Amino acid sequence: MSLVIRNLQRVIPIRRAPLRKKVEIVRSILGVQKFDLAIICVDNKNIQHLNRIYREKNVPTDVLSFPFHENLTAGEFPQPAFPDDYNLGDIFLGVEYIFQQCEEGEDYNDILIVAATHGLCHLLGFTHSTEAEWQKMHRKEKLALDELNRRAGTRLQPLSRALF
Amino acid sequence: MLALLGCVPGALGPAVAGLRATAPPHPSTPPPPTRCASPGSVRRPGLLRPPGPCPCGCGALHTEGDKAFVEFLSDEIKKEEKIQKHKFLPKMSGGWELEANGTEAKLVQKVTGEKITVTFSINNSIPPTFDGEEESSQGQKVEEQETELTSTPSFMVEVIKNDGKKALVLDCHYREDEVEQQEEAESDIFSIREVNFQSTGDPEWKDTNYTLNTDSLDWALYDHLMDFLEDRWVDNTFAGELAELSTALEHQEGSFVKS
Repeated sequence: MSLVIRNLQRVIPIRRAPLRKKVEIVRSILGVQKFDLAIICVDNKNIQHLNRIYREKNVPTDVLSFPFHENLTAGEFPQPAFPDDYNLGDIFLGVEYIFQQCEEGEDYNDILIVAATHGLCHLLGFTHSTEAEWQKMHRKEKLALDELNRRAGTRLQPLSRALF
Repeated sequence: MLALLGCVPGALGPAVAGLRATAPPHPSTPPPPTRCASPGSVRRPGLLRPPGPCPCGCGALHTEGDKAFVEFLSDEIKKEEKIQKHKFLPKMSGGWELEANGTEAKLVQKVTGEKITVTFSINNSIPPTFDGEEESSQGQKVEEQETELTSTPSFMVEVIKNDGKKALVLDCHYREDEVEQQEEAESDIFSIREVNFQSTGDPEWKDTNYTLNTDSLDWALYDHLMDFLEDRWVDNTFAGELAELSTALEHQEGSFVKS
């Protein structure tokens, strides 16, 4: 139900209201607006720390997702038994890394939404460890972003498009 | 001493004579209680009663407790001077002008059409810390490390538009790290707690004006308020620099103990 946005870093200015507005649209497109979600913006130091602890990769990255419901099949909706379990989990956005990776002409705020959408798909069980899994995830991301583009007038492309 | 002996009644003569036959009292033995001739004026032993004025001639009262206190404060001042980062007050980025008045300070910024004032006090601005001794893997106790205390004052942001009769006031507080040992805290560096409108014409704060508490505020509206502050250079960078400035001010003001 609630979307919590937190900004723990000082490196990159964050516009919270537009981020919230677009993520709410993506939540509604994916049909998970009843679930709580947290988006936490962190800098390179913190995202690298998390990457090292949880994925044993000592480098910063763009997004890390921590699902509340683990082992979901890709695209499967959680079936909570209790009201407190209406929670998808946490998405950590490495906003400094995302900013540094922005190419010329790209809107940094748009890339944040793309990263958040990618993270949201991970929370719903999508992965991209194999080509087959990637295709499924890419399809889902594209569906969500195409609909967002239609509703919000944006021109966003999936984050996973270049992975395979 | 002679004056005190003059008060001893003659009836104690044989007892005093008997006492003279014993070994003289040890120098550290406190003087026996004396009784003056007038009834009801018994003097208690001098354990808790401070001695007379200090012979240094200043006329003030100097006790052993005062001496120990001064020694303790001297040590503390030396420690503070060691950890003091800034000899001068750090400057805030973004063109803020500082007006300091004792423990209260204001940062003022004027931009086209608006005056933004951030007011804070260094009093009670250092959150409590939990000192703890840790045991190393060898089981030996490690000495407590001297931790640097940071001042994180709550601050009031006042935004007045030019020719405006009203000021938008946002009461902001730093995140409270409730449990020191938790992993990365996942809350904003600072938060807006209350929002209020005040008339610029009134010198006094009006409690009767409506105050919006953000505890039950719609998240989207809260985000708009945070973006509003961000547009006026009150963001996480500002919060970090304000804590440094406040800590430096606190060091400065706290040095009153040197006097």
